[in-house]
Amino acid sequence: MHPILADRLRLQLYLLAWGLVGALLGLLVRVLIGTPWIDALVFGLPLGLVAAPVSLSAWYLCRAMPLSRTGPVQVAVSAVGAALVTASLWAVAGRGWWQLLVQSGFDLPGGAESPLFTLLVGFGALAYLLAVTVQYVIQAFEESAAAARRALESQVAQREAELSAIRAQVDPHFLFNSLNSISGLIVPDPPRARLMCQRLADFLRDSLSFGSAAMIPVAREIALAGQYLGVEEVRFGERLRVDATVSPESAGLVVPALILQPLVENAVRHGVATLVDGGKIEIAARRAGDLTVLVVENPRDPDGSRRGTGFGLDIVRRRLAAAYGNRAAVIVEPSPAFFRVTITLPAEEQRT
Amino acid sequence: MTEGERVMRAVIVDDEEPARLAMRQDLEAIGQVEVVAECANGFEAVKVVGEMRPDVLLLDVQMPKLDGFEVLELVGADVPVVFVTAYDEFALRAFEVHAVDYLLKPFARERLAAALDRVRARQAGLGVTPAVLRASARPAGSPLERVVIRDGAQVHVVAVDRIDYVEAQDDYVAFRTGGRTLLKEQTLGDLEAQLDGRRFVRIHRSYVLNIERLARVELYAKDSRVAVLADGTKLPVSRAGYQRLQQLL
Repeated sequence: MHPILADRLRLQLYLLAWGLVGALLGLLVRVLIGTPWIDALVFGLPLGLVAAPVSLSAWYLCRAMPLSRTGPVQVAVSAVGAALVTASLWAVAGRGWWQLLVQSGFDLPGGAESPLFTLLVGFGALAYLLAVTVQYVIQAFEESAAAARRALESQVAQREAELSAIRAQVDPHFLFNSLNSISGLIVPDPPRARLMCQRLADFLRDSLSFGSAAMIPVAREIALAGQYLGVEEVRFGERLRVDATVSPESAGLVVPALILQPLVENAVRHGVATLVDGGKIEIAARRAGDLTVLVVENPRDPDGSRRGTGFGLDIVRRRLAAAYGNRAAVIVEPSPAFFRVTITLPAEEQRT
Repeated sequence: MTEGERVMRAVIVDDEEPARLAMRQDLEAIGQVEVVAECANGFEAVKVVGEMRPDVLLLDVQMPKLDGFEVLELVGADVPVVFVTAYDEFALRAFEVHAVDYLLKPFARERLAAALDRVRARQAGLGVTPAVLRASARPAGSPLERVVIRDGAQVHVVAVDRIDYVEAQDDYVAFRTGGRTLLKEQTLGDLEAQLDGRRFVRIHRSYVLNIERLARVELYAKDSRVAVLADGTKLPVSRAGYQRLQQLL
């Protein structure tokens, strides 16, 4: 539906505008041809209102040729062409209307048709071009409003991603299981119980100190993952082994804090914990050109039923997308007995 | 503790050593309980239950190989089960499969004592039938992804996509998987309800077929058809079974 026809108020304003154009035409006729006021307006007003439905076609022209995707020459040629054709038709109607009024006894000079025709074509074409311009202005307003809305929406999505990232930072079951381990160790093995308390406290103190937007050096991020796994080592004993390597040139690059946390949680829960004899979780950080590369790899039971829901991976993807757009990637390589996740993101030095 | 109560024989099943330590200490403190075995995974648990016939199984849910629910499915008829886990989201499922109780880690000693009392009450006569246990030992809503089968002390875990077809044999179902046959005490109707209806179809009163193994259906006599599998095996197809097969294809 045409936007002007869709709204009653808009339609009224539109007709009023063309009424004013008609009045302006009457004024021109009065001044240029020298007719009395009443007769000039009787001629001009209806002709102006007739132009109203005709110039609605400007909207279709503008919609078919949005400025963003059409060359200026094409727009100009089309608009002028459409304006001349429309104005000529209108001028023919205007001349007929003039002759009819002359025959009906209105005080209009009978020999003025020729300059009148020229006047109508010029005036009509200008009015039509004005309508096109107004349409383009409205279109531009609408586009910028839509762009603002899209920007707002993506901001909201980013905030949401950040919020869920905060919620996912530490799996509460990790705390329950750790507390249960401590309660089991207190009497038979007090030193191990204390060790676990200390590791748990260290990990919580460090991980809870970061906001969701914090950036930390790679070496620190890997150390955090190591602290988490240190707690899990007490729980799983010899079943859990960890091998973390940070290449020297990547140690100082910064990454979003706790970006690895969902991955190491998965590596324990869906990996090592599914194996009777456990296995080794390998974490690596390196620099490849202008990319920071982080890898978490773990063995898993090929026949395991605990495959996970992809929630943790989704959190990582959304956090990276919020921070880097498509300049970061998460590559998942599952095989029956292993699971590897690689994160690549732009290599950034810490800002000082 | 009332007089005349005999000592309860318990088996602890948990893949984490500290968790087993916690449980053992609490059981010793409560008294009248003897820990006859500790198991670090589901396979051991199934084996130990068969050998020792304990009075209660204290069972973790998330373990390697067999999870707690699969262990219950295999031994639930033989021994009352108390689940012990850090996850509260399994509670509903635990009661659906008629676990006696459900403890959240870390638990209070009194809570464990109450669970043991419930086990005694259950043994005193408020039992559930094994058939109910087996039929319901699966997550509500999601189809079975693997089948666990007990074969003496041995346990087989078979992913459902490796099953060729299942045949009803009296009180058992026979799983055919790559030339092997595994028997499980279950009705074909129960099993059919648990399997994914888009991958398995009941082609006959006595047969459920993995649709991916089907090569073609041949007319054998008037109103009588046989399903020919990729390996050449022929299975009878009933009229109702043929309709179900057509619907699926």
